Amino acid sequence: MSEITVGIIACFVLLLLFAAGLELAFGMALLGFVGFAYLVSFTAASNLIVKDFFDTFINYGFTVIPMFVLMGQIASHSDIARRLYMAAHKFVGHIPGGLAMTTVAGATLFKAICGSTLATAAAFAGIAIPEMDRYKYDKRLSTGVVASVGTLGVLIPPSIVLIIYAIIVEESIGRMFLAGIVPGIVIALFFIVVIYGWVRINPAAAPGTPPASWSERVRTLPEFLWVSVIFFVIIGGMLGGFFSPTEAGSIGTLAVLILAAARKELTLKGLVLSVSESLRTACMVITLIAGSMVLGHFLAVTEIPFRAADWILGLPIPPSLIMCFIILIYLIGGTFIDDLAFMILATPIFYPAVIQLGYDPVWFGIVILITIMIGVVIPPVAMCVFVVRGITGVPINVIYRGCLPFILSLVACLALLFLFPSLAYFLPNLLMK
Amino acid sequence: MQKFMKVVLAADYALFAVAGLGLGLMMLVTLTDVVMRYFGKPIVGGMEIVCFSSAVVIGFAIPYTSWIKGHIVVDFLLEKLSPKTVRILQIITRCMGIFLFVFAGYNFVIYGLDLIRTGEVTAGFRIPYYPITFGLALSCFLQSITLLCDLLTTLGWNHE
Repeated sequence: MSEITVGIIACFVLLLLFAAGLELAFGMALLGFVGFAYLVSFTAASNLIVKDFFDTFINYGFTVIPMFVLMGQIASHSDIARRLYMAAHKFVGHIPGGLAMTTVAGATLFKAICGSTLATAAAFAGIAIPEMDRYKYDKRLSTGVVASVGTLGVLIPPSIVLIIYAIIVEESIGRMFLAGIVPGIVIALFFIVVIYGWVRINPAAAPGTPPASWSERVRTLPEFLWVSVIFFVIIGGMLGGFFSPTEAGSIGTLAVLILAAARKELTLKGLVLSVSESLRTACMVITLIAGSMVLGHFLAVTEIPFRAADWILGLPIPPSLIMCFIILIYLIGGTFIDDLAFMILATPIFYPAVIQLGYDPVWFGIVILITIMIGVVIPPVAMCVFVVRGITGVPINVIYRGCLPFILSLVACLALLFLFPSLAYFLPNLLMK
Repeated sequence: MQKFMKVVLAADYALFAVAGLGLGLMMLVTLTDVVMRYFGKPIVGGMEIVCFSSAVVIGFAIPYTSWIKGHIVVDFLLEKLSPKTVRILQIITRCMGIFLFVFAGYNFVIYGLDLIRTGEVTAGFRIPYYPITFGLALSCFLQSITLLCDLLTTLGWNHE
């Protein structure tokens, strides 16, 4: 059997292992080992599995992941999300649809210190939905907006998914962080436009609330200030070369810890939960990367990534259409496996072809991340929707219907990135030249 | 059987706690390094400590993360199958996992012995690499026992 045949059979077996319920990381490692042993030698495969796991676990580049995860966990276990929500409420809560817009604004700001998608959806499901219920908001709008704003965590720095993409394609983490800012803000604005349009069509869906006085608004300004300071110290410190991404994560974690402790908002139990959840997430992500390393080495022997790149480049269709197909593959793959896992699995295969097609690596990263954002709110594996349903008890079909206009705005942002690719890379090009 | 599972859970949690301490150490060393660098005295080999801590953080967290089902699994397809089929698939996948981690653990021991023989150490602090490989071997063996517990639960042997 030729290498390529073995590789193709292995890909089908891998999907069967996933479908059978084997943990994705273990499945990738096991199949990579067996395939490498078959094509090269048993001894080489034994060395490969140990070296790949050892090198991944001890790699300084990956130490950034637990740091930023911990920062986000401490932020989500303290009262920062609620404070940001209440502060944004004072400014925009009084306009029709204002509480939904407040959710978008609050979540966007919260994202600046918390890179977790699910933590944001969970935090705002507990804070924003009861408030919207109080003012008789349409359930589809209230739950749909909360499930959708959770997705912003994929794009707005310090997003864990951005970090993982940067590591996979060996791109600067600071550069990817900068690249996520403009599209992230554009999507947040699109969400606000969706809410505005929704309320224009059906004013009863989101009535206004009593306006706050200017003195009340001014009193909430420190809430925005502290989060902005932490965000700019992290990003500025990395861009200015003052510290590495891991150090930025440590400094951010310390800053959020001090902020939460100074306000007496973080209990010992909350801290232990934050550390425990961070360990679990970091372990899950890095084990997944280690598994993909073993599989990647096996796939390199089969030459599948290179053959795939040659095949894709030889297709008699325009590059933009090829990109659309790649996006569709990510969407379908992410829907049936897991969006993050599929990105780790598929990016090394598609990346060489995308680069040879002439696309910018940063642009490709942002496009893939927006695809992941769509993936986490569409069935069957819509994690953000599941979190909102778990907390609110609202039927899942109601949340899905509520998410639909926001999903369309994500698709619109993808189209915008195709029309104006510089949206993704003009900020990094401007600040990192 | 329940006693055995309690012991395994305690061991998993003990390693998880060590991983938590490792995370704290990583943060402490990184912050100290940033501050000391400002005063022109960076920690020589600070990066090595962070890397070693990272291996402890991730490696030691694997068994407990497995115990709490923290690794990503595609489960929505399993939900559509009959309980009997799911049980059979779980037995097969648990056995695969056990094989993987027993094998990885054994090879980590071999790798550690190689590192002792060659005397490989880090450049800064000259810390030997082998304790990390033995630590990871321990974690791999515990992970396979954790998966064995999962298998026993699937087989219905967790009740006395």
